[in-house]
Amino acid sequence: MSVDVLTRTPAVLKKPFVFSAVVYLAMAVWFWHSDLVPGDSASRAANAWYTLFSRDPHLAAIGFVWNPLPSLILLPFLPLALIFPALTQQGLLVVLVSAALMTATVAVLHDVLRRSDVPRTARLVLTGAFALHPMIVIYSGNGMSEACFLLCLMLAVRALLIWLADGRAEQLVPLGLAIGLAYGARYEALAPVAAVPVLVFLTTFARTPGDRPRRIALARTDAVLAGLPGVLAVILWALAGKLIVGQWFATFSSQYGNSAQVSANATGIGSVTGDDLPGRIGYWFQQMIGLAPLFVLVLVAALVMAWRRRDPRILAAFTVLGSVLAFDALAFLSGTSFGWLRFHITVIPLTVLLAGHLIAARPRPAVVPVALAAALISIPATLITLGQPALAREESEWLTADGAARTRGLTLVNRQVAADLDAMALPEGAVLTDAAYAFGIVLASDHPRQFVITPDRDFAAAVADPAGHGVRYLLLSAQGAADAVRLRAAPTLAPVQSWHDARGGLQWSLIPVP
Amino acid sequence: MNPGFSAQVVLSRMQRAGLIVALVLITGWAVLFPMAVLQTLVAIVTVAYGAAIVFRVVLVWASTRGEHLIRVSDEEARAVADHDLPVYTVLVPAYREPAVIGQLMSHLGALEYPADKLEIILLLEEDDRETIDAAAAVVTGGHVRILVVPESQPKTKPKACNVGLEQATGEFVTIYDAEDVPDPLQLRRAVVALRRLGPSYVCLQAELGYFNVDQNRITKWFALEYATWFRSLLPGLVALRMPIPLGGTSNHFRARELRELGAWDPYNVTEDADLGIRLARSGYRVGVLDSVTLEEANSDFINWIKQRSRWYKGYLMTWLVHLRSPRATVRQLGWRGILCLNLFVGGTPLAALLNAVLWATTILWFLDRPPIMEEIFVPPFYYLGVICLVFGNATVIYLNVLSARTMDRPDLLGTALLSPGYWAMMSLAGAKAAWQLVFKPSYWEKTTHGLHLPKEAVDVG
Repeated sequence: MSVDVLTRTPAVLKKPFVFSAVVYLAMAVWFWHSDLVPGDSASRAANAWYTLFSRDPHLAAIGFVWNPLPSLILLPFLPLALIFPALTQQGLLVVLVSAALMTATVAVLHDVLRRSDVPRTARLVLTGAFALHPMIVIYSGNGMSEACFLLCLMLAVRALLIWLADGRAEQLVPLGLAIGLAYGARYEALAPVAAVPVLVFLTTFARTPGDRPRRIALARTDAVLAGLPGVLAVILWALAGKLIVGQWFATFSSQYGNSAQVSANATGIGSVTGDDLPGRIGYWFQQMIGLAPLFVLVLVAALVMAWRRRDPRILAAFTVLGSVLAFDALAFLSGTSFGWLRFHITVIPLTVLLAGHLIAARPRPAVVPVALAAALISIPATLITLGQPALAREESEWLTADGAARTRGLTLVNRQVAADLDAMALPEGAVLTDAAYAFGIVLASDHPRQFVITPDRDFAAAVADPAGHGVRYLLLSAQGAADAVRLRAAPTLAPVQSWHDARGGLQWSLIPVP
Repeated sequence: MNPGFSAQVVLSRMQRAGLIVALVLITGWAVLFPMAVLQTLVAIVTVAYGAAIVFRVVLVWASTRGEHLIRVSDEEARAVADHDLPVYTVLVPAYREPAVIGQLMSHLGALEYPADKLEIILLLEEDDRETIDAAAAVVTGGHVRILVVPESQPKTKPKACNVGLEQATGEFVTIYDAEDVPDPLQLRRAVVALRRLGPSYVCLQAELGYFNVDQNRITKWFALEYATWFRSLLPGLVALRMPIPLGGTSNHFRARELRELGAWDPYNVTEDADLGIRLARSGYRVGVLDSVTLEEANSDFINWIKQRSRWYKGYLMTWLVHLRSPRATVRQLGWRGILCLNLFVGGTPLAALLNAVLWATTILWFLDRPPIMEEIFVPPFYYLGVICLVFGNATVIYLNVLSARTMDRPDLLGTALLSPGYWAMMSLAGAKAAWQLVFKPSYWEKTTHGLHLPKEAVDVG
């Protein structure tokens, strides 16, 4: 009758995914030890760091250009950095956290396969096809937001699958929350925020008996339950941005945001991906085939099988992961995205889950090996793709010798700048710099309070009148297209010091304030 | 009953002394360090408020894990032979309700229980001739009798119930209000359930619902609130093995244990909630029975405020009464019971009261941004406060949507989304309750019933 809830453990937690945890941990340590922690990861860590340890610690310092969840997750662990400075100064924390999140993603994916009635052996092989997919392994260890995003999406898939199977309204709550959280990780979650309530509405409408008004009313309520957290996440994040930095959607409107970066780099992107639609479609196909060559085949076969068996559960993965995939495809094809390989990362779990549905529908000797092979072939295909810098532009910056040297070089320059400034023993607020570019330096410094940075509430005033605010030096990036300090606090004096990368390219210069 | 548990005196001598000393200390401190006092106050309020919200979410979550309603099917209920049924006493306290007495007889007549095992006692007040006359005109069956409660103070519903319990002959006892429409099988279900659960259970609370949900927005809000209360919060308390504050009617007791416990506190204006805590302190358990009694939802704004302020006042009273000897309470209730007592019994009215203050503060902030507020809200508590404001409100609205869905009333979706309007009403009631607790602690705000009836039929004192 009454069950003590505190003694029950969810089945997911009982299965230790020790193997993938070890692999991901090794990957994380490799990224950290090779000084290859990507700028995107370091900047998320820096955003969290500012809220506690900058000159002006406040929560809004987390920034509004990037969605906050990947930084918020780090907050509870940041005080540990006082004991182990490498956690933040060298980016160790952020890669460890992404490894943990990706391990959890593997556990949830395995549970989804179990709930889709995939037999045990096939389930383990498919879990392996996801867990050991090179893209998943790389993004488990590099600290970027993909692991956090995939975990949220996979939790949404799981909740939606359970709801499609049993129809209990309570399951819409974890579904809604997972989608809301996913928006906290990446703005691509806009796609499931829109798509999932539509699916829920149609499903309830289709499978509820009774008269039409009642079916519509129930469907509407279910759609609200599934959609409200996501919609609120979008509204509240926009509202907070508007109230604090004056922009509803800083990702799109800020000079540091995604849209600004894409337009600033449009020529560079176009030269690789093609400027016109046919060119972009070709590039997109190459990337998709490179990540999951038999995706379309598995998709069609699984949908046909599901349709024959009238089994709606396949729609869980199809809607949640497929909508993100479609969103990124549209963004790229319309020329508003970088076209990174990782923007198609959801095709990896989607292929695995679809293969699972196929096996569950036809667990026969003729079908199982083919479906497994279709999922597994993604691994060698991706290994080949990752060797092609034109398709894997970001990844080649860590995986090829040239790229790794460039990435490491930038990290080392940042550390050198930080060390040189620390050696000058400057007072609090003596160096004015734009944290959108200098985050690596601020993070690496032993004295972060010497910097006046973008999230500080007196930043604008300091840019307008550096000397009046006790600023003694301006730290200017050579490459930052929107460096507010370089563009607005027009320097007049010659630099007292400048820093170059290994190839002699100017990276940073320090200008005295008269 | 043990006078230590009575709300005749709201604050015990020790509590009064403690309160005075605390007030003097705080005042002195506030004169010396006004900002520090304000900051501390804000910090305490914020943490308590956040804890109450988290507690609520945990309850709802716990209620969805496993089965915590006690279900007895129609077949099981009817399977007990008449001669195996115990004598059941139904107490029906009524005051100045001549209009609903006629209906009462037909609703209680629908109970499927052998007449020779059923004892229905109408508890009417001596000065209420109208209702006594109306009842005398309709009482026919030998198993229904009128008991006129002699005039004495306090003139409250629990006092009347105590008088009724003295004369009750049943092995089991329950209470219905005059306008209640109980599930006809409820008594049989209670008998089966209590026998099945064994002697550690001395009480079952049946679910309360409303027959006039669609009358207006207030009744819709009220219905949604009760659905959350009986389908989520109370089962959550059961799941976490916490005390259950009983609802006003449809609680089914073993009569002997109820008498031993001293029955109802005539001075407490929510004697039902208080009894729930006392049951827990005596080591008894309470179950929630899956059987609905339909009541009349309060449809009138003023009437609603009166009723709600009485409930809040009673909850505050109950809270204070059980904090009199904290060590004994901790020993008897354990940490779970203490959490429930503070966050649920004390927390419900205090949160209603605080809501108004906190919203006013928020509006003031957006209109004027007075710098002093930045000083009062120290960062960690400021963030906690923002989280409560944003996520707390959103969470409760969301849970109300869920209730509308799980009670299969999707037409209440709009009502759920408009919940903040209901909270404003709660704040008013909370303020009235706090004021009354100080100046008129035992005053019983009478709720007018029969507002769902056509105008000419209503005749209330």
